[in-house]
Amino acid sequence: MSLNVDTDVLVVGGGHAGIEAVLAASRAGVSAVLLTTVREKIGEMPCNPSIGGIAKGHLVREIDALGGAMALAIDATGIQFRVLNRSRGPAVHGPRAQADKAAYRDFVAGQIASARNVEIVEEEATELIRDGRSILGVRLAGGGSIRASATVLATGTFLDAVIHLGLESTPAGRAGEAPSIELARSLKSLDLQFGRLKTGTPPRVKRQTIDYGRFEAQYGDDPPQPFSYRTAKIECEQVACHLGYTTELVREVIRRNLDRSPLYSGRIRGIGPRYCPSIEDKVVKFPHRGRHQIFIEPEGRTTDWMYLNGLSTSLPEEVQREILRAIPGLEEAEILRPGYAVEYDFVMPTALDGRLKVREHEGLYLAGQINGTSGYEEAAAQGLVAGANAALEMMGRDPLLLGREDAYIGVMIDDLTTVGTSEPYRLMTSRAEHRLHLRADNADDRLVEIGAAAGIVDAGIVEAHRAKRARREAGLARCRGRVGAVTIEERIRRPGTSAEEFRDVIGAEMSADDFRWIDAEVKYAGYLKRQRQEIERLRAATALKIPVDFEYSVIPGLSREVVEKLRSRRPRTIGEARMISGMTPAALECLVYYLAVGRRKGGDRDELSGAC
Amino acid sequence: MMPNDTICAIATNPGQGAVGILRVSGPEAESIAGGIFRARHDRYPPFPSRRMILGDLHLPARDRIVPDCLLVMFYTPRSFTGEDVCELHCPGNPILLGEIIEELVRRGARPADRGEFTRRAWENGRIDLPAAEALNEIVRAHTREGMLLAASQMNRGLSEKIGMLRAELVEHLTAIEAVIEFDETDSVGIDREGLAGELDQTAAAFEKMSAGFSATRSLMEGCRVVIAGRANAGKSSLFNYLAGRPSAIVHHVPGTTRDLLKESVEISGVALTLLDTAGFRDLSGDAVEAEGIRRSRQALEGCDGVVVVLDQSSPTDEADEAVAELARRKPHVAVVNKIDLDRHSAFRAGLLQPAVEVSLLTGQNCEAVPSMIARVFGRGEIGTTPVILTLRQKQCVDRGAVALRNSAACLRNSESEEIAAEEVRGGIEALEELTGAIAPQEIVDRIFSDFCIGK
Repeated sequence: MSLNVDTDVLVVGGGHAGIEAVLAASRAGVSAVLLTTVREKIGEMPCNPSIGGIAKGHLVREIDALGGAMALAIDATGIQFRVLNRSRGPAVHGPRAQADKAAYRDFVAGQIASARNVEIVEEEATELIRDGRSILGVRLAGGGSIRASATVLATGTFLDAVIHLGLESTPAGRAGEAPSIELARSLKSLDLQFGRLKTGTPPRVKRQTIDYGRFEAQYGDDPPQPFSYRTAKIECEQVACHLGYTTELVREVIRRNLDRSPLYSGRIRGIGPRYCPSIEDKVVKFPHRGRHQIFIEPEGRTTDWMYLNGLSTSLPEEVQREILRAIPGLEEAEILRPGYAVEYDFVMPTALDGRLKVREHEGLYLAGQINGTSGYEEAAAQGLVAGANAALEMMGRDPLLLGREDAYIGVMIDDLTTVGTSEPYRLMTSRAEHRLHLRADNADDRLVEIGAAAGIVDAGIVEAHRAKRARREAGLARCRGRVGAVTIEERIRRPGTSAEEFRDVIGAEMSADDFRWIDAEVKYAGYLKRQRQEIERLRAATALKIPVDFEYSVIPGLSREVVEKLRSRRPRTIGEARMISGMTPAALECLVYYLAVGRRKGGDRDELSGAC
Repeated sequence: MMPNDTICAIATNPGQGAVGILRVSGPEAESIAGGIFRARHDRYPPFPSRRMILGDLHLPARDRIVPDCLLVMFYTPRSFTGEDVCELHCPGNPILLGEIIEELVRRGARPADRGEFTRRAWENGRIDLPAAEALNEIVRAHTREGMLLAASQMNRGLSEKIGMLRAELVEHLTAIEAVIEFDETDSVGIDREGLAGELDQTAAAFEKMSAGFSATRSLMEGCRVVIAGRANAGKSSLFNYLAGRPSAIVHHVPGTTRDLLKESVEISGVALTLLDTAGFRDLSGDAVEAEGIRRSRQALEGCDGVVVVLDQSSPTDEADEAVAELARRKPHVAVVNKIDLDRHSAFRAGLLQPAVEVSLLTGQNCEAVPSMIARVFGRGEIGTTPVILTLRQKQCVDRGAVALRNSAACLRNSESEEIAAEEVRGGIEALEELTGAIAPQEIVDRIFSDFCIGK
């Protein structure tokens, strides 16, 4: 029996991008369908059992400030919370947590089940339904179809995916799951540019077969710091991870077996992530480093599956076994699933605008690894933006556009859509020009109001945020007071000093989060002032108004096609004009230039005569 | 990239001249300028590249034909702006040139904005920003040496030097960023003291470039030479002799010149700004003159060189010695005056070297003075070492130096790495702004509005 469904927003893929996309569309107030091949895999973490990290933690908090689910999910199911870079300044603190994978999936499934107007369809998409340049939904393997105003593709690594384990390769998107070949073919009939990437995962071993005595236990922060602004306290029981090292023997084993590595035998041509190299890459590229770290991370509180962080590999299973035998404490480890590499196609994201909509097609949005990114957080953030915009567009409302100065999400989307990527794109703090302003502790300051304007953040959250903001500002003002000869501000600026030490003066009503915010605002005060001035200038440029009656045809540099599009769409600002397909950076420059010339019209003649 | 319309302007000086040149640049340059040009020889158009073609200009709107004009066509990218450029050489009458512009505009060209030709050259990668500024300085230089110096900066020397410094900074920044992007538990470390030392070194390189700016400016605007000496030694006579006309009041009563007189002159190819000063004599009774003497001392301290006039017919006194003492700190030359009179027995001939003996009254040996001055104050060959040419460039370099010093201090004071990184980023931005790699729009606008139209 074939299934036929009509909906507002269709999201293909139940990974981290798909989840945030469908939930954002729901929050915005439209109906949405989440299409996935295996319902139980919604919210799966196919690689490391953790959320957050440096820059990624920022993303999670930004997702949270925009009403997303990721932070709540990890807060509810995290089994070890640790802020990375704690010794450094607040702008580069990286909140990170180990997740209980099964609990995480359950939590997410619950969120989707309770979301308004969201339906899960367990089917495989095989083809985009097209009408010229418009995408109207997808056809299903079972013969039916889902029609939608907008379709968000969040298919992860499934496009034409191949799994490599040693010299054997199997078409598969994840271990044991079929790739999307037909959908890939359909997508490739659109005039998009494709590239091929590679990523990998380490072996999972059985908990009982590890000799923990040979590892150093690592505990999380006490008390654990939640991700979400909505989480008061982490309730989940906390566990330890374990740190160990590879040995000289491991290097030998790997070098001896490089000819059996799909990476080094030339079978894999996709480009892998530089910041998360496989162990064979590490051995070859850093020959002088005698040993490498391995973290043993439990995939859950009760599961036997243990993730060997640092040991990503696609060597044959027997070589993986040999490697484990050479690592103290893992000699007897039983492999539950070997590590493997996956190669997949991605769409060059320069085809997208700031909404993550495909410029040249109507009704098609892309989010997550399909855009060449890596990481759950990067995917989730894109899903939220794509899902929200898919909904906003059909409702005829202003889009959710985040700039480089607003959020790490904005930095990522701008990088992807203007420069593109040739390797799996991962967010890093050094990608942000305004790093001291874009912090984990002020993600809500930066985004709650923007999310509220887009209709994806509850009124209750906005109100709570405003109250918090007022409280913080009052606390910050009190820092100008003196303790002894100097002001509190001056004291806080000293390395190693925190605002919390002055709790009595600043205010007992402040939360730990508030103090972190005050710390950052005080320590970076001089730099923030400069950065924020710069940001104002940037915003003014994007917000540059285009008069309603502006005559585009007077601009000599614009093609007739662009002029026609501008005439029919009537963008109100430069920011809106940027999203119109065919608007090249050069065409935009022309537009800005002529808007500026128009404003000082009349003065030009005088300049002409008295020039020299 | 800027809008690729076609612009036009008068490239020669406003006012009358033997020849006036109009410049047209852009995709329609050939059709617009060529459209009003009738070549004497009927094989044109199309016009050959970079060759002068003789013909007449037709101005139908004015019902006028301008005979014997020249047209030169430069095709993209081998032109000043990198676009198609057409030059029209006509009689240099401003009214006529204005009419031709009028006709070009009627045919679709747009009057160029200030500096728009140079701006396009920069945008099309024909020249870099410092070269664009150098070009401006060539046109504006007051001195021959200044012009040569500016010309020496037309190559990418400065950009290359800055590029090397920038590469160093990017390396330092990467070292810091790498530490930030990886958690403390990994073994990537940072040698704070070592890195701080390197940042200081780069900062010192910036500071050195900045310090060279005043020398460059004096070259561009002329070397400021003060004529100093005891009252009534003949300073004003020398000033007038060098300036070639009696702009200073020359009088034999001591203390006549109470103000500073200024004159720009070129002596044997060396551009100088001469400053005549009040004589050094302690006359506390005369307030006006005391002020003059104060200014003279100030001028002596701020100048680039000193000519000391000594009167050999009178004994060397404390005032002479005081002036000589100040003069020794700068490039200097002594003019021993009044050789038409007998030398006083207490005159110390060796007080200041080198010296030239003259009589400014009779003109005896005076012709030796200019060559001596040229030798002492001339800068010799203009090197090709990249230098800071404009105040804008200096401000960039200064900002960079401060940022790097701050960054080094952050690292030494165990402040957090992201702050040190922020400062280094500031330093890199300052350099990129200098070479125009990331020039913020308003700065680019400011730079180019400094230019004349048609350049």
